[in-house]
Amino acid sequence: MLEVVSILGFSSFQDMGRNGFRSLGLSRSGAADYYAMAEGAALLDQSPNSTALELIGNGGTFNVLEDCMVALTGATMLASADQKPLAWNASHYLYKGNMLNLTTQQNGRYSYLHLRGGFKAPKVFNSCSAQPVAGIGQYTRPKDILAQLENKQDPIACQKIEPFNRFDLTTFRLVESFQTRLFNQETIERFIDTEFSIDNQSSRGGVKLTHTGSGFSTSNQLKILSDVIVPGDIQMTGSGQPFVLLADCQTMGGYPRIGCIIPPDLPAIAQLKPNKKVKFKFIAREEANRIVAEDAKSLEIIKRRCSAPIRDPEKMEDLLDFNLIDGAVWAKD
Amino acid sequence: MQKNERYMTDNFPKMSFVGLDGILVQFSQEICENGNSAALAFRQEIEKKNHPYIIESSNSLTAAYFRIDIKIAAADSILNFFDDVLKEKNWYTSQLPSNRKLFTIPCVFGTDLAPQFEKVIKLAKLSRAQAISEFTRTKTRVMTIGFSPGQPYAGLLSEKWDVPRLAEVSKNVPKSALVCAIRQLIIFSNSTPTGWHHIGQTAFECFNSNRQQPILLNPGDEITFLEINPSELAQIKSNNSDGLGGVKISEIRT
Repeated sequence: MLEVVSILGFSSFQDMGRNGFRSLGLSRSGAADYYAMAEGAALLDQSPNSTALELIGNGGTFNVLEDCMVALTGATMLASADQKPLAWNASHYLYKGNMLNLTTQQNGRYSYLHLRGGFKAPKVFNSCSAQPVAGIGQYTRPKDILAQLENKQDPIACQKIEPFNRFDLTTFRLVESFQTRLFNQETIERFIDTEFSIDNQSSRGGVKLTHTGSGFSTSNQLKILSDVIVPGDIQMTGSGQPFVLLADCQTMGGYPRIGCIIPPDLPAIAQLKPNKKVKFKFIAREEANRIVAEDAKSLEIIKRRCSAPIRDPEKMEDLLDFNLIDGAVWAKD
Repeated sequence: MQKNERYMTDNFPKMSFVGLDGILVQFSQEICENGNSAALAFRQEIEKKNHPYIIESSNSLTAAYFRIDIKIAAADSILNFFDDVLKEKNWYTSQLPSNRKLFTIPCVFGTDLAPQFEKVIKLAKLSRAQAISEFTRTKTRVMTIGFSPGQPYAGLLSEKWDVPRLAEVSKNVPKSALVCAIRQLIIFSNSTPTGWHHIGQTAFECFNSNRQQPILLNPGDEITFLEINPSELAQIKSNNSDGLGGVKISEIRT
């Protein structure tokens, strides 16, 4: 159990999202970076759907109220417990009275704090993912108590994980979608040739892209019938400015979509910091299906990415944190 | 019926992909009531068949959307199954869903609370009284729920209301606002930036997790409005923890 002392960015509970309710207008939601959820789950030996705390833009400080085990994944941050550094992409034991501090995101925008047993959060339409703008759940605030859902007692060893490579992608793969051909060939080619910049106006709903040159639009754009929207869609707003839609995107909309980013590239674009440059390329559906199948396979064998933490005495602040002696985990045992 | 035949010869119903894992079955390119009923009925029929590859489905205005579990099967493999169901009957003559309800929602038209009313009625070449009677004397049908939780897209308004969305998005239109464009109206579930014209303000919350039923509206339901003034709205809002906003709900007998 943790108590929030301070929150520096935006943070909310997320799991793998809600399926089956889009007919009621509910977004899919869920963690922006599913690799980070899988990594946290592998480190703590639990389901990837266990609720984690997603930290956007910056972290915060947490008072540890009970001994617990946590994992840190997603965009790397400077992490410490009572000012002793904690390795990122790793699991750690925390003890009552520790002050956990997470700050300064380095290579991305979405970082995750996982708790063994999962965080306890209200379930709305079968998911604990918060979507405050839609009236579901709230952002984390100081003094919030972050409780554990399942009380898991059996000790497991601290581990580190080799993270999936997703932080420096520059070319994103798209498949054509039902509105792609509303754009003429010249516009599609210009879109593929254009280098875009990630704008700082981004949220869990979408990432705004900027570029030099004119916008991208279809004819009669303002009268197109509203139709289904899915995460990954690249939507052109009224002025022809592209937005990449993410997990919290609405279920319907009227602005046309030029294509859809394939699921394995979506965490990568969500993670890009402002001013990073990106380009897009269309790939065939067969190739996209093959990439998705490979991705699913690599997630199935994710535990192979886990190993015992580095035992380099030079880098060690505290031998106990690294379980140097016997790999045991409860220091109190 | 003439209209149906035209849509059929325009290659509707039509199947397309939505991203990598979705299939959209569109019943018409333009908004129309028989295209909407066809889409609602087709989705209901597919749901009934409980296909193991389909994760979820939804309706848009004149289309049905299905998300396929592409870890089990590529979306392409479902196309034949849909094609067979499409051939089972003429979907354009489908009945609307049963148990439909009429929602009468108190609403302030225009004033500071809905600043785009005057501009839109000028575009539609209607007087204030004519415009308001369209909302208070006629009923519009909920064609789909979407965008955000419980939010209705209703139509069709008369042809004069065929006004395009704004090219410049308004920053923040409040929750429960009545907005219109292209012969449709929406009541917003949440405050949102939008290109739709803000013409009225209600206190009806399309989604309210304090209610036993957080979402009340369903496709096929009908909406009409009761004109109120800003002080009446303020009074409704002062006692609105259930978010019903003074709505009256009655059964539609068919």
